[in-house]
Amino acid sequence: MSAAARTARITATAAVLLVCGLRAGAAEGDPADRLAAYELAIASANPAAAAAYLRDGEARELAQADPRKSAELLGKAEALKDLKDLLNMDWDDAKVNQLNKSLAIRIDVEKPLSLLGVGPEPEKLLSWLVRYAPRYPAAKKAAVRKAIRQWEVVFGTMTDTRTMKWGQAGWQNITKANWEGMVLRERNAVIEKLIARDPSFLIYNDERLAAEKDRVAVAAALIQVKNSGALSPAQLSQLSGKSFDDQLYLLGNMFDNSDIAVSQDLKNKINSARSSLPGEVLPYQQRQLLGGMLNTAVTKELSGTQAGARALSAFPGGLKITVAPVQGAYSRYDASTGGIVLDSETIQQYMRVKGYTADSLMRSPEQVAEIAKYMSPAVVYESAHKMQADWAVSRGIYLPQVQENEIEAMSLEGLYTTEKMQKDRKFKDILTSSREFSSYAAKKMDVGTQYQKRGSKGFAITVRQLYSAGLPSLSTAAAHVLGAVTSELERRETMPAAEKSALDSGGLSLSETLEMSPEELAYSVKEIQTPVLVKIQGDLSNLGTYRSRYAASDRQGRKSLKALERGTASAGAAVPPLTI
Amino acid sequence: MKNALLNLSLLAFMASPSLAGAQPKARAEQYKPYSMEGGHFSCLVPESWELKRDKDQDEEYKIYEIELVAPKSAKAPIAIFISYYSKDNEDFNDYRDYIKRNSRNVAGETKTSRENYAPVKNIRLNDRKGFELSSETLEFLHPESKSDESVALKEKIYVLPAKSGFYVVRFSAPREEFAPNLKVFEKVARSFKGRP
Repeated sequence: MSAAARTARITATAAVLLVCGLRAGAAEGDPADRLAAYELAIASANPAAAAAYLRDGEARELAQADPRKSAELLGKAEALKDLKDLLNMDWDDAKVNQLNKSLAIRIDVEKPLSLLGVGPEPEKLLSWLVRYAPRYPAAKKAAVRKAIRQWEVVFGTMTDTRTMKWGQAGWQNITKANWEGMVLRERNAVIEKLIARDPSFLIYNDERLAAEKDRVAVAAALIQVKNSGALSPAQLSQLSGKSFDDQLYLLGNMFDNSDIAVSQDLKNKINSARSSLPGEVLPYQQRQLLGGMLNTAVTKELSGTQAGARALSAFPGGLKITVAPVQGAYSRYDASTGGIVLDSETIQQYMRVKGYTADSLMRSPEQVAEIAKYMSPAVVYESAHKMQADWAVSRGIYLPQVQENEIEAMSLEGLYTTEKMQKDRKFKDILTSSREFSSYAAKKMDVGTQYQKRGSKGFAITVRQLYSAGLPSLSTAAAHVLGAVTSELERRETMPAAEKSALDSGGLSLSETLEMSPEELAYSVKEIQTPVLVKIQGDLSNLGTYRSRYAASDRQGRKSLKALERGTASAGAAVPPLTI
Repeated sequence: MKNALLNLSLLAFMASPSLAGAQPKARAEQYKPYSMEGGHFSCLVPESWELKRDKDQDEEYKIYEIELVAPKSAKAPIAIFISYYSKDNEDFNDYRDYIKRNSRNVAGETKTSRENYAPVKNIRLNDRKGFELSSETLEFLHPESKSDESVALKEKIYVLPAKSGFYVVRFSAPREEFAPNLKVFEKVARSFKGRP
């Protein structure tokens, strides 16, 4: 066949890929022609061609003849497919900020999508949508414009300049042209500055908006107590002129030391929001002691459930719990110690409402057992993260923090809560009775309810779409890192030998690199030793290894849930006979 | 404090749809037929709604479903799911298991300050015997963080037993969007045809 005829065939195949991605058709004909067609279509950011390439094992195998080129093509294909998958989700006005986070991870300088022309300027995404997703509903397109913080959406159409205070630099003008040259990360940083001076910009930060709403709800409770007539003039005068936080603290003290006739609901609202009183605070040494006591109590708590047994299997040498403040969360897995940190404020809030003090807790195994039950779902959740980290370490492979990790961890937690609710009356009582004052308890029950209701398949969608939209999926993270690593390896091919050798002896090692987030790794490629980059490239070119692990874990979970529900199918079933 | 309350009211006002001006009167929704390969089911689908399907996941779980998403959404998607749970599906033992798990929370409660599940009703849909479930719940959006942001959801579900497996036609929407979109759901449900 002549070169001209082959070129014509490749162009024709690429044209078909442009239209429909050729789910079945692409696997026909000469694999070399298909590979060339994929390269052509993917270079123009065609997501259908990217998806077809990822499904075409023959073409991908052929591409392996040039490992670097293959990794680069794979990275771009994964990035395009991931972008299309992301935008296929249900994005609307209410989830604009989640979409913003998801896009900020994906569209930035030197990311695979930007190399394909979908960024780094966010408006390039709009042109891509016109070309490859013209049939998206108007509401979704509007959500994308808001998510990329288009100038007209944020500042309106009446002006092309915004003046704002920028730290010590004083008043600065931001023009529409400046804005359009910024990546999403930079636009978000500007908006954060604006929020500090103008609360109308709070709508661009869900967490800060929700925190403000919480604060308003507690403020309303505070006003209700003060207007209830239940406080003496002396007590009211004590509160007068004090800051909001001080008033909550003082009121909590008054609830403990006098009989103030307001509803328990109001008291709980104030108690749960206020700072701990001195007797309720767990000092460092008592936190250490409590951690040790919880190791035994939580181990006992997890035994006897399938999810609990899986969680315990992550700690062959025994649980390793510490109690300490955790910023913004109820728990975290500490990879440096291999242990789980439980949030001391969450425990102290429970103690405040139950009337426990640090001293009473240290003397009462029953109170410790109660805390162990209360915090055990958080331990199960973090155990899944430990299993993930251990798996990666045992294989020496790079494991980025991705949505799939959250699906696995929240599924295990959901299974555990479901099991305990059915098998452990006291656990059920503790969680159900704590819901009204503790968002932690209500959330743990919510995760259990969602997992039980939706099953594994539906629950994964809930996690991706609602709970962890700000995290990259495995394919996004892989695409991002692969793109950066591959470009750097190409650069090193032409690097003077002495320079390369110095880098390989003094650069960042494998162990240092494995601890990095995808972002850090992508931005640090120039400082990493060459063999380490080759290793990371190899790891992320084979996502099947990761996917089979997630799939195995999911199979285990759904089998357990199905078996559990089979065992209780008749217990209190709300199903009437099929009569009509 | 007063300022904080004022700011929040201002934000709520700014977010109000009324600011967008009077909405044009909605045109009557157009429908087109949909038929899933393998003969699992067929139904009418609204043309302006987005149809989504993940075939690989369907095969993995042996749950064959489509999701229809409304063009206009609010705090959470307005979505209709039409699903066939094959007899050996990976998630539910049978239709009774599905009904039990979707008619109460994980503690077995049907009424709490954040959840309200109505009693399960017998129904007849397109000459099939079945069940109707409905609920109204307040869902957290960030369960592993300390943010308490939530969304109020309403759900209506038809569960239709079949000789092999069972069908589910489910409608989920934020509370304020439920009633305006219920007609679409009922049109889809009433056009549904599955295996006996």
